[in-house]
Amino acid sequence: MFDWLNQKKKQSSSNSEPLDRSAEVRVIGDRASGKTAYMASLAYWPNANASSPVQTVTPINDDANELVANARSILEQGLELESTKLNGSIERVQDYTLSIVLKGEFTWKTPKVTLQSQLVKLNISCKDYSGEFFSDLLHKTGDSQLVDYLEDCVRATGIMFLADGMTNRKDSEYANGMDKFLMALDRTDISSNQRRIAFVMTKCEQSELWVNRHNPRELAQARFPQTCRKLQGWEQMGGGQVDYFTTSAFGMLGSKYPEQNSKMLKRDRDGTTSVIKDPKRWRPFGLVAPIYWLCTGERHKELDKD
Amino acid sequence: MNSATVKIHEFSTGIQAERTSDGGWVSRGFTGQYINKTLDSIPANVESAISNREFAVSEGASRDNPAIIGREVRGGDQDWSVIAVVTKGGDDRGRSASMYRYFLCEGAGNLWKILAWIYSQPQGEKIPVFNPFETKVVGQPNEYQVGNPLVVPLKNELQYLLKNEAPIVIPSVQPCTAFIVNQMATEKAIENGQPVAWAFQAEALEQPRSFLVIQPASEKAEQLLHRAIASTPQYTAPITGEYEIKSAIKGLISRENVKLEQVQAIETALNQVQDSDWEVIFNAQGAAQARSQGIYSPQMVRLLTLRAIVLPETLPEFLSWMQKRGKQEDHYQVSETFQSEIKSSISGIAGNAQNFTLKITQGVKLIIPRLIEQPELLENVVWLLSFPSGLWKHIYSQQVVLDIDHDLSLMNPKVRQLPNLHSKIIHHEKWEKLANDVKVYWQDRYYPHQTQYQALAELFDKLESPKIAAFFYQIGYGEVPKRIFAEVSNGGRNSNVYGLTLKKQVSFPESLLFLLMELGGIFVPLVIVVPLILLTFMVGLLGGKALFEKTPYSLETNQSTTTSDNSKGDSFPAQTATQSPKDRTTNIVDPIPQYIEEEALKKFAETSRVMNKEVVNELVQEGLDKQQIISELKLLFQDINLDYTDAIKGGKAKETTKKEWINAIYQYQSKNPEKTLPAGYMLSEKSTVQELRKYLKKKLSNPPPQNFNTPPGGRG
Repeated sequence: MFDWLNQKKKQSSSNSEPLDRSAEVRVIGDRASGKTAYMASLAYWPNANASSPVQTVTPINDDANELVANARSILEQGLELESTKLNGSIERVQDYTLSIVLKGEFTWKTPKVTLQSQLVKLNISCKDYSGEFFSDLLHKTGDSQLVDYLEDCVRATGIMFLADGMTNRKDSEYANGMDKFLMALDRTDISSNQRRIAFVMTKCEQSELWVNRHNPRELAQARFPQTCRKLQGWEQMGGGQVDYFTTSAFGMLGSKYPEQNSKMLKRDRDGTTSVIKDPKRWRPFGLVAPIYWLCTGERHKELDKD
Repeated sequence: MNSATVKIHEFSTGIQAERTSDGGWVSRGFTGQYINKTLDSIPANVESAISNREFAVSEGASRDNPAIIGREVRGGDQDWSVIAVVTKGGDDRGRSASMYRYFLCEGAGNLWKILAWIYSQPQGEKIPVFNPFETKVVGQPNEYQVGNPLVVPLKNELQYLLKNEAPIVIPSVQPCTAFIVNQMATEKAIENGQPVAWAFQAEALEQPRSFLVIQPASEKAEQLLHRAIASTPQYTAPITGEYEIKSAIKGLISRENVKLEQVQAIETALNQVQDSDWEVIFNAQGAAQARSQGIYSPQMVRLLTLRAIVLPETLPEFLSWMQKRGKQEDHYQVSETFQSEIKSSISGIAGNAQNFTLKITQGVKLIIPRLIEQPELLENVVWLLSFPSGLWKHIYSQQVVLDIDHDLSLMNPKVRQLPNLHSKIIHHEKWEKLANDVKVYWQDRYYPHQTQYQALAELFDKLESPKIAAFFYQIGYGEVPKRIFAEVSNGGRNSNVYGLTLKKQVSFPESLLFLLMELGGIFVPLVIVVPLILLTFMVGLLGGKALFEKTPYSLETNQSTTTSDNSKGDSFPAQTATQSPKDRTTNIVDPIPQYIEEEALKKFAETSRVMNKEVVNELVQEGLDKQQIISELKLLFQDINLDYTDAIKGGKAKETTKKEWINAIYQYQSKNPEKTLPAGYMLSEKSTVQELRKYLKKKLSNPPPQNFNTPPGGRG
C-alpha cells in the first residue's frame, strides 16, 4: 500500500548524486590582468586532459554561453579579447554561472574517505568586474557606482584577486588597492561574513613564473611582498582566509621541453599582452585550483599539479 | 516650404582618453558613464535597448571603417530613432575595444533624417565617429535643416531580396548605401509590423536575428552573419521590458535579501509577459541547465523558486527537482529564506502585489490535486504548504484551505440543492475532475475506496486540516484513523463529514471483540469474553505482526506509536513525531454503537444512582471533597462539560445529559476492556464502580507534586 513511500526512501537514500559545493565569486584585479581570459578559458575548457581531475566544465547561463562563444571566436582564432566595459549598473555586470564536475579520486593509498575521493560538483557564479573597478578603488572615494560594486562584493563568498605575474613593479599599487578594498569591504559588510580571497597570479606561461608554478605562496611573496603582507594582515585580523595560486589561461606546448603557447604583443611595466600561438594545442593551467579552494577551503593536490 | 529643423542628440561610450603623439588617442579605461552628451539623461528605452545588446557588434569585430546600426526604439514615454556609429579604438594596454557614438532623434520614422545629417558633412570630411575630445554640451543638440526624404527606386536585385524573410543579408558584392538599407528595412518593417532595424557595413553582430536588413562589410562577414543567423534557431521577438526583467531576476537570485524595486519589477511584468517568454528569460539565467544538471547553488535554488512562483505550472517540476538532490539538504533553507524575503517585500508593494498573489494561488490550487498523479511529491508538498514563512503556505492557510472546505460542503447533496451557493475552487480544471470523480461516494456509500486519494488524505492530515483529511481517508483508505476520527466526530457523536459517513479504523482485537458482540449480543458472559480478549492481545503481541502488516495502520501499542520516521511499512504514515503516545491513547474515541446506547439509556437511572451513592458519596464519607471528586471524575471521563447535577436526577435527567454520560462511561470502559465490557452503564458494586472509586481515592489522597523539578521533600 505504501509502495511509493518505500520507493521514495530508496530514491533519497541513493548515493549516486555527487556532492556539491557552491561559491559566489567576484573576480577583481588591475586592467588587463587577464580576468576575462581566465574566465573564458575556464568556461571553454579546451583540449581537456584525460588525466585531469576535472571531468567537465559546463556553462549554465547565457552570460557563460557568451563567454564560451568569445573564447571560440576570439581567443581560439589567435585574437585578443576586448577590454571589459565598466558598467554603470552593477546588475549589468556579466555573471558567469559554471558547473565544474571533478572525478572521484579514491585510491588505496589514501583509503580515508575525503571530499576528494568522491564525485564533486563545484557550482560557481563569477562576476567579472571591469579592471576600472580596481583603479577606481585607488582614485575615487564615495563614488556611488563604486559603492554599488562594493555592496555587491559583500555578497560574495569568495574573491579572486588576479594579478599579471609579470607586473611585480606594481606591487605597491596593488597593496594599496587591496588595502582600500579590504577596508571598504569591512565597512560595507555589516554581517562580518568570513570570506576567502584567492590571490591568483596569471600569465604564468612566462618562463620566470612557470618554473615556480608549484610554489605559488613563495612566488607571490617574492614578487608581490607588499600585497602579500596586506593579505596576511587581513587574515590574521580574522577577516577570512587567503591562499595563493598560479595560472595560465593559454598554457604551454610540450612537457619535456615546454614552451609557452602564446605570442607576446606587448610587454612593459603594465604587464604582458599576448594571444594564443597554437590554438589546437591550447590547454590552460591551474584554472580550477583556486575555484576548488574558494568552494571548499581545501587545496586539491591534483588540481594544483594540473 | 518643406525643410524643417531637426534636433539630433548624441552621446558616446565613456572612457578616460589620453592624447597620443600622433594626434590620436588611447583609452586609459572606461568610466561607466556616457560622455559627450547633449541630453541630461539617456532615455530609459534607449538605454535598455543598448543594454540588451541590440546595437552591439560582436567583440573583436569592430573595425576602422565604421559600422552603422539603425533602430527605432519604441515603448516608454517617447519613441526614438537611434543610430549608432561603431568604430574600433585602442587602450593603453594595447587592447582593442568597440567605441560607440549614438545619435538619436525624437519619434519613430526619423532614421533617414539622422542619416541625412551624418552624410551632410562638408566635402572631404568623414562621417562623425567616436571622438572623446569632441566635447558636447547638454541641451545643445546638433541641429539640421532637413529636406524631403529621398526615396530611391530600388534595383531589381534588392527588390527581389525583400521577398526573403528577415533578417535579409544583402550580398557584400552588391553596391549599397545606408539610405538604401534604411529604405529596405522600412519597407520590411511595414510588412512585418515591426520597428525598423538595420545594420550597415556590419562585421559581426551580437543579435543578428533582431535586424530586418543587414549589409555585411565583407564577404567573410557575410559568411559569418549567415552562419550566426542559421545557428540561432528561431526568431525571438524582443520581449517588452526584457532587460529590466533580467536585471531584476539577476538581482533577486544573487542575494539573500531581496530589493523591493526588483520584486516590484517582477510584479509589474507578471501580467505583461507571456509564459513562453518567461521561460526564455529563466532559461537564459540557467533554469534549464540547473534542472538537467542538478545544480543546487543558492542562486539556482532562488531562480527555480522564482520560476515556480511566476509559472505555477512548473511548481511540480520544482518540487521534484528539490527532492532529487540526494544527501544535502541546505537548498530547502535557501528556498525558505527566499520565500520569506519575497513574502515580506510583497507587503510593501502597492495594491498588495495582486499578480504575485494570483500566481501563488494558482500554484497552490494546482499542486494539491497533482498529488493524485504524483504521490511521490507528498513530502515536498507538505513542506511547501506548511513551513511557517512560506509563500504558498500563506495562501494555502489564508484562503485555499477555506475554499476547499467550502466546496466540499457544497458537495453534500443536501447542501447542494440550496440556491445561491457557488463553488470557489472546483471550477479549476483539476478540481473539477476531482469533484466529478468523488461524487460517487455520496451516491453509493459502499463504493470501494481508491488508493489514488491516499496522498491527499496524508497531505491534509499533516497540514492539520482533519476534516478534509477525514474525507480523503474515507475515500482513499475506506476508513479513518482513530485520531482523525476523534477530532472530527465531536467525541464520537458525529460520524460524518461533508455528508459522507465515516468508518473509523478498528484495530484487530477490537474487530474481534465487535464480532463477538455481534454474534452473542452484549450478554455474553464475562467469563468467556475476558479470556478471549486476553488471548487476542497475546496473539497481537507475539505473532500478530505479520497479520497487521496487511493493514495500513499500526496498532495502538506503545511500540508503534513511538515510531516517528515512518520507517516501518506498517506504521501509519501520518503519525508525526511531535505527538506523544499518551496524546494518542487519550484521543482514541470509539463511537458508541446505537444498540449499546439504547440499552444504557434504559439503565441510566441505575447508573446515576450507583455513581452518586457508591462512588461520590462513598468517597465523601471517607473525607474527600465532593467537588473535587466530581471534577476528577469528569477529567477521567475526558469531558469537563458533563453535567453531574442533572445526571443525578436519574431517569428525569435531560436526554443529552444522559447520552453524554453514557458515552463518557462507554469510552472509559473501552479503554479498560480487560476489566469490563464497554456497556455505557454501571451496576452496583461491579468492576466499573470499584475501579472508579479506587482511582479517585488514590488520585485525591496523593496530590501530584507542583513541579517536576521539585526534589522529594523539598517543600519541607
